Amino acid sequence: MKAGSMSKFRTGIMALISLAFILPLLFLIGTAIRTRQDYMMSPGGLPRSFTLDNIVGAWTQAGLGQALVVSLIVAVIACIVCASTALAGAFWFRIHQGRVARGLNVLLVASYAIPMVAWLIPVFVMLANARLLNNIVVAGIIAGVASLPFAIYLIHTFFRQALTTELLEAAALDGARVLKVFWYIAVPMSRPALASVVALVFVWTFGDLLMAATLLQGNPQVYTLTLAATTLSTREEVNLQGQAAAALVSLIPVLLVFMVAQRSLAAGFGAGSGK
Amino acid sequence: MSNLKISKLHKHFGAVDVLKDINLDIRTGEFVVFVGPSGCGKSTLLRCISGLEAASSGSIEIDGQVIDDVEPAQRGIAMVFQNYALYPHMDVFGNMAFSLKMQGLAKDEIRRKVEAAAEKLQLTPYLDRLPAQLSGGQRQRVAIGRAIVRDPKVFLFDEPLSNLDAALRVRMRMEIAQLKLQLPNTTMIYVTHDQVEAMTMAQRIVVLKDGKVEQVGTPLDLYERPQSQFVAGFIGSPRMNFFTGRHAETFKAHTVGVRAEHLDIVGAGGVWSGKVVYSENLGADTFIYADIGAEAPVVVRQPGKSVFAAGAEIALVPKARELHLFDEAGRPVPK
Amino acid sequence: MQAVKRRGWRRALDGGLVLLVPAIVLETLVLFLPLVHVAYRSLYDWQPGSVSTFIGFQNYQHLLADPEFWQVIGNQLFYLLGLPLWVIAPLVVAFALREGVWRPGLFRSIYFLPAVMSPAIVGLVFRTLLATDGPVNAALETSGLGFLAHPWLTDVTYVKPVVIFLVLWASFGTGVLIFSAAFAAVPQNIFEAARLDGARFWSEFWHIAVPSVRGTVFLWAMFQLVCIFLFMFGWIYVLTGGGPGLSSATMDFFIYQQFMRFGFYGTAAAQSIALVGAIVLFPALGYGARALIETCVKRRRT
Repeated sequence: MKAGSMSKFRTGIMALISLAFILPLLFLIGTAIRTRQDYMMSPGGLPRSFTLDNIVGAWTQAGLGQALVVSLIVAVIACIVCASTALAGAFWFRIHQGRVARGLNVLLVASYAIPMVAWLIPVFVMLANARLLNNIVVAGIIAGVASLPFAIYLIHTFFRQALTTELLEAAALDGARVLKVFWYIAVPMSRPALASVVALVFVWTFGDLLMAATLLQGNPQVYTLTLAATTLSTREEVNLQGQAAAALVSLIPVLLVFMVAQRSLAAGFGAGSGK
Repeated sequence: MSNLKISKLHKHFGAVDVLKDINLDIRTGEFVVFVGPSGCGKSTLLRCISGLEAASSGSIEIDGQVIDDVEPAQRGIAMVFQNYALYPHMDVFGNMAFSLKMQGLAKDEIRRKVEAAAEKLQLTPYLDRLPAQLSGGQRQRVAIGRAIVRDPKVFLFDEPLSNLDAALRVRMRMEIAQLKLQLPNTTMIYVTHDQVEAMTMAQRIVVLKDGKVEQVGTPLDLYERPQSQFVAGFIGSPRMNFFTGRHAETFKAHTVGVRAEHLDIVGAGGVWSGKVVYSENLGADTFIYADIGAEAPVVVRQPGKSVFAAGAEIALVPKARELHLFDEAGRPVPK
Repeated sequence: MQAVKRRGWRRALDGGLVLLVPAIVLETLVLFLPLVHVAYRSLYDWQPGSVSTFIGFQNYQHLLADPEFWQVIGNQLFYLLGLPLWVIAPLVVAFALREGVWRPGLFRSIYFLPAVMSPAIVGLVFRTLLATDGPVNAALETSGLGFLAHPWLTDVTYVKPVVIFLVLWASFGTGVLIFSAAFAAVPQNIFEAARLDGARFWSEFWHIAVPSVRGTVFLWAMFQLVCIFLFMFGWIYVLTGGGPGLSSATMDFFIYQQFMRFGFYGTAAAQSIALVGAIVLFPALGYGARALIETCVKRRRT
């Protein structure tokens, strides 16, 4: 094909691929807003009925309203803990490059590869002993730490490019000490990297099932949205439409984040490519 | 009075000696340029003065006070960086005010100082702009303004023009020269690898080579009385012609150097003769490259539009007084 | 003169350890100490609510003798067969999206959607879609393709390939994004030069595009490798519950089950340590393979 020209063939293939991502979502919406009878008639067909009963039912039955609040609290705590800790740590690693600092850096980032199930078991036992299970603040902090290795890596990568040695030297000449450089220069400068971290941690924490199912499973009052929606799906008496409605409701917040912070999310994942 | 005194300064990075026994005396209000090829240690020397780099041994005094253990911010120096090093998230005002804010000055005093400096540099309309919204020349001026507000005793420039295009470089060169006139009591040290910049701006030039001071002097000193073959070759454009072997034997030296403008073209019977290889007509001058059997073609500068076709026979006579003779070590030989 | 004297700009910015302390403390408390604790407790007969006794390597011996453990290991190795697919599919699409496509950014966004959605929730949707009497099979029946209808999630033959394709679905968009960024960083004139030399799509892809981003390709492969060991829980838990039997279980799901459902803390601890071993071993193998391939390529060239 000629360079620079639009190819209908290529665009067509890309559109076909995108169906694989759109259709499941459409199916989810379709199932959530149709009646049970309609679905039973043709599960693969188009909906011929419209109802909000499923969504209302799921909302009340699974306590999705409360779960949404819990999820938001957990995710916000996770974002704050993760972003502030990673920012400070990554800055320290930017200005200290001795052998010890580099070793610590590798250690704190490589802990990304420690399987969550492995550290979650003792954390669960420890929290159980301290009677801190089913505590959304604790769960939020732990979710934030779970994302910390990636966040440190991401912000450190950003600092290595944006916070140049020359800039640090200029700050030293201007008479700024380390904490002032951090507060007046590094923090305000890191906005794009912080946006990526916050968007990623929010999305990950919001969608997490393993931590929620371990640390919060003892009390339905503190179920996160994901946990509530999946728990609902395992209850026999709840029909498919109810499950779909719950799933749909639990996807809406991250889809909103996706639309608002798409660029930051993409940048965050891009930083993961190790360019 | 001596403003900046450097004695017996050494600096090494690991096993590499970057600066070897540097001794310099710079007077208050002087404009001094450090020049040399890349890797000669000129930037390291500047950074040692600024305190961004610590010397391995030796000492530096400013106004009679040893500053070896004084922190960079307390040395009374200011520095303009090669890439400007502006804080990207602060507007022009914020960039210029930052060091004053770190000193803990009152808000209205900061405002007064920044506005005065902005006035001097015609930056007043841009005070609320971010660095990304400025042109290269404006950023350069902000970098200078940030240094001015601190009212430094010594003003350091680290290759400040190397990121600008040719036209802007000439203009900024003039602006810095004018700035120097406005600040007669401020010592300025300027690092560059560009000998033209050095020649046009400096009151005194320090030529560095391999971590050593090769020669210190006024631009004309260096041009007319280079103390080594290196300085002779480094200063001046086009580069000085050097001959060894039979071309030099005539003058009983290991190497003979002669500048392009100190060669006359004669009809016949010149000291050297050969064929024209190529000629460059620049309008006011013409550079003629001739092969006279030396290692490299010799360059001759002729005023106006001289026409020499390639292959034309040519005979050259050097102006005897302008010849530079060097021994094997590159040291000058008395004529 | 003092032996080592920190001077220069780094001294002005010295200290500030207080900035690093929170990261160290939090990671130590939540990640490192628990890992050490698990390693230590894997040597005990660890049960909830009872006195545990030191039993040496018995947990590991049980593990090695446990056919279920080996089945799960087998599952993991089977899933690794998906690696070429997970790497090549987004690579080709990212390459094709470079030019000649209407609104490539829109397509990238659509492909990227799964990255933000909870695996557990999406797993729920696919569980419904792929149910034996679910919409996919129903649609196949009504369109006369009934012979293609299968019990996707409840048949030992189909469940693992289905999981491989769902991982592709989930990671595809992130891969496209990362490879697009990598292609954008390659000087575009090498593609133009290749085209002037007469290269067509596939030859340009194999001979120019892939070699120019091979570092990213390798990193993405390693990333996928780690993901298949570490982040599958949400999918498996909701989609198949590890079933039928244990035929689709991954390590993290298996450990969770041993621990939360059956309360075999000691066994779960030993399995966790085995998983950590796998996480170290497989990327190491990957790096070894890369080094080997590169020396071979070099040798062939010289």
